[in-house]
Amino acid sequence: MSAGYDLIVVGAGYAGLMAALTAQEAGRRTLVIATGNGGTHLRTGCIDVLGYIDGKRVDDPVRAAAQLASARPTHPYATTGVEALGVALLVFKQAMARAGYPFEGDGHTALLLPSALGAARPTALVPRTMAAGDLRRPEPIVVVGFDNFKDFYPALIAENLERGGHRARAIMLTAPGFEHEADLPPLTLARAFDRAPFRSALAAQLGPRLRSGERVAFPAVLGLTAALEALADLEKRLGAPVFEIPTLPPSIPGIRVFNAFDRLLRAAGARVQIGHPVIGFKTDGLRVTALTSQTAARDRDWACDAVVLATGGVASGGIVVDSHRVAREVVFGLPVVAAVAPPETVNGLSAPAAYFERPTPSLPGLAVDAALRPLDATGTAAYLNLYAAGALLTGAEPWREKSSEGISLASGWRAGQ
Amino acid sequence: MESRTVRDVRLTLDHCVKCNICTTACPVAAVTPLFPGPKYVGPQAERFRLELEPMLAPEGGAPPSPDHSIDYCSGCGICSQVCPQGVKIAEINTRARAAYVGGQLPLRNQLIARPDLLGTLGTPFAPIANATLASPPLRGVIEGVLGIHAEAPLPPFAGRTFQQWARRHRRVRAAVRSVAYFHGCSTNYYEPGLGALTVQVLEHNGCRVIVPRDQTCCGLPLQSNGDFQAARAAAQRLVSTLLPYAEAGYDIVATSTSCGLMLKREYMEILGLAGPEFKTVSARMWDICEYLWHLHEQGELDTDFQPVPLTVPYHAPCQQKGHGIGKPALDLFGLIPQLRVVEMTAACCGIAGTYGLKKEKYQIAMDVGAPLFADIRAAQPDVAACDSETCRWQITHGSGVRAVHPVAVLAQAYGIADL
Repeated sequence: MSAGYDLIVVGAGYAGLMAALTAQEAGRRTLVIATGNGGTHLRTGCIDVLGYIDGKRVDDPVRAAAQLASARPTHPYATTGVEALGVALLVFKQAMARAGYPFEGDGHTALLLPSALGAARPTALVPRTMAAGDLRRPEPIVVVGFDNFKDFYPALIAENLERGGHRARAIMLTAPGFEHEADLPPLTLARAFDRAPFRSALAAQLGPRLRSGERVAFPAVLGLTAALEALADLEKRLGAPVFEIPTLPPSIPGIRVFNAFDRLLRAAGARVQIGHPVIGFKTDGLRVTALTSQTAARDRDWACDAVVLATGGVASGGIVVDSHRVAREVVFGLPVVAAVAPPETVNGLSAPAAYFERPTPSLPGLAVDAALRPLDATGTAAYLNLYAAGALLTGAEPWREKSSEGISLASGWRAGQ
Repeated sequence: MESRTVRDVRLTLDHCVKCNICTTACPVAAVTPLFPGPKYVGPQAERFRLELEPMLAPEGGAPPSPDHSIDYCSGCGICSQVCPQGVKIAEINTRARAAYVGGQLPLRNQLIARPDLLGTLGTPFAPIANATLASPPLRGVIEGVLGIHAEAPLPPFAGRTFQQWARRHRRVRAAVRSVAYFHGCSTNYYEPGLGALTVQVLEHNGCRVIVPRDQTCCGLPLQSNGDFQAARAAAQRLVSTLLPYAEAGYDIVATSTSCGLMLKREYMEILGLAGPEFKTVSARMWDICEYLWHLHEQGELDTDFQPVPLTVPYHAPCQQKGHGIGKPALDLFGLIPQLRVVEMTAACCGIAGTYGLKKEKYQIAMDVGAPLFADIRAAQPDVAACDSETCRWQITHGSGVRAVHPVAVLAQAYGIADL
């Protein structure tokens, strides 16, 4: 047996985990190596595919992705191909179901879910714990919050839902057993929801205040390890459909997704190494032959036949932008396109609007060839066996399009082939 | 004075974006409200501790840190490993605990932080000492007087030391390379058999194994309990013992993974020891499995393993993960025919060195370890494997399953000794 890996994936967000699972389950010896946790823990835990084109909400995310891909050949969906997107969504759904954390949605129907501000949020796949939140359903919504759980205000959410034409009201509770806590973190609540006695005490408080025909929204903390059980149990005790609304990070639904991937990867024999920052690489000129990470005592090389770079974009530190607005990809020093344009200045200071009002077609990112290989300065693949996936890819506006996880899964699946 | 390295560690707090990923991974915050989580106690509270920094200097005594919950950090280090921004949370917290303790350790902590002293005292009287440690009524007295929990896993003294074995041991094969073996206190006083297996496994692979005499405690228990001054003295002593071997170009292998991590990095990053001798020794340090896998990568490991038809759950302890070397024990196990290895995914066994021995923290440690114990039992194992001694004792205590160092599994596969 050789001491190296068939594939090393750098990064442990949606793109990296998808690439790794795809490769490992195809029989390739795979290593996931990452500085820390990230993408999963900071996002909603839903799979956005495409919510808007030019500000207009779409009805069929996958079809709309195909339209976008043909209209914008530089968009990641144009590179991955929309077939890859469809397959990736299916593979993801099957994987999560196997891990005991099933998702609903088929990618061809835009689901509309309430945000933590009560806005309608388009997405494509949602965990079962959020499915009953679809705003196209008629039942009125009771938004439940906890008085010492911060940044989730049921009255605000209900009011905004009402403004959006949905019937909603708010109930504020005190979490049983946490009456004396000044601040109740999401994880503490999630672990409480894992326990039946907590759910029973909570249902006893809440049940009498519900009216028939309502559905109940909680912050997305309905269990860390036993979410499905917690959901079913609460629905039974309350006699009403129950769903979660994503909160500020850390994202409990996102952690569930990471844990599901982690279990599947290890069960399939992949290695997952968090806390191993990659600081360099070795090459024979044409191919990457090893990645270098820092250990406690010395640098160490991890030999490999191929690399998927999924370190995320600017937000995750995969690309850094210095104070001169020069963008740099951190592992390979690959050329970054669509670097941040100089913002407009007012009295010598940056105008805040310049950051948000379309300064460029996208965030800084990597240009890739049809096989997702990042391009060097001459416009050809930098290395024959180096692939990029996820938020590193240039050409998208995920925050505007609501396309983040879809791009990550599609490109992760392609790169893991 | 503060070393450059310590300053670098400190400055990482400015990279904290308050995402709370560390808190999601913290095994202690998961089971007790007494520890709110690494972010709150670490990068967040550190800003209020800036004025205390001068008192962290080797000479200094220090007033209490403003945040008393720091004492409930077990020091496992998982927070630093999961941080996507590279904030050295655990390192910051360990230093903050030293400021909180201010060098004033209670008697109990002074005792359990000195395994070499305990070993020296206990070894000649092993039968009496072991009978005492195994007696529930006497352990009840010890708990009452000292605050060491009556059920906490204290290992029995072996009654003979590994150093005694090493002195009598004759080399059996011609060697192609020489290594020095840093065995640590636990191997010397409690598990001399592990030291013997390590020497034999290394010799089996063509190594001449030198066991430096007068190996003293690395100082980790002192560091964890907040006595930096004594920890620095221990570090100086041990490094001066190992330095000649490092300077002579010997690789130094360690079987105590947390002690090895001290020599590799923590002397510099946490204790702030800046002398060149610390770098010299660090550069030569290897965890035993890391070293054996390194030999394999060079094509120099004997891979003629006999089948080991056993089911072995493997738990990589927190400090092993802190090395940043992957999981070489799993890699090595992958070379052994018929061995069925189950990689554990639970974060931590809870013991964290001396943390779980303490009366007020014993139950926290057991609660932290509960998912791991359950997973180990569920694997229906013949034996469990884990690189760290205190974690092995805790695993056996919590799960009822005997736990061995990965080297013991390799030794069986080489036909050196059965598990």
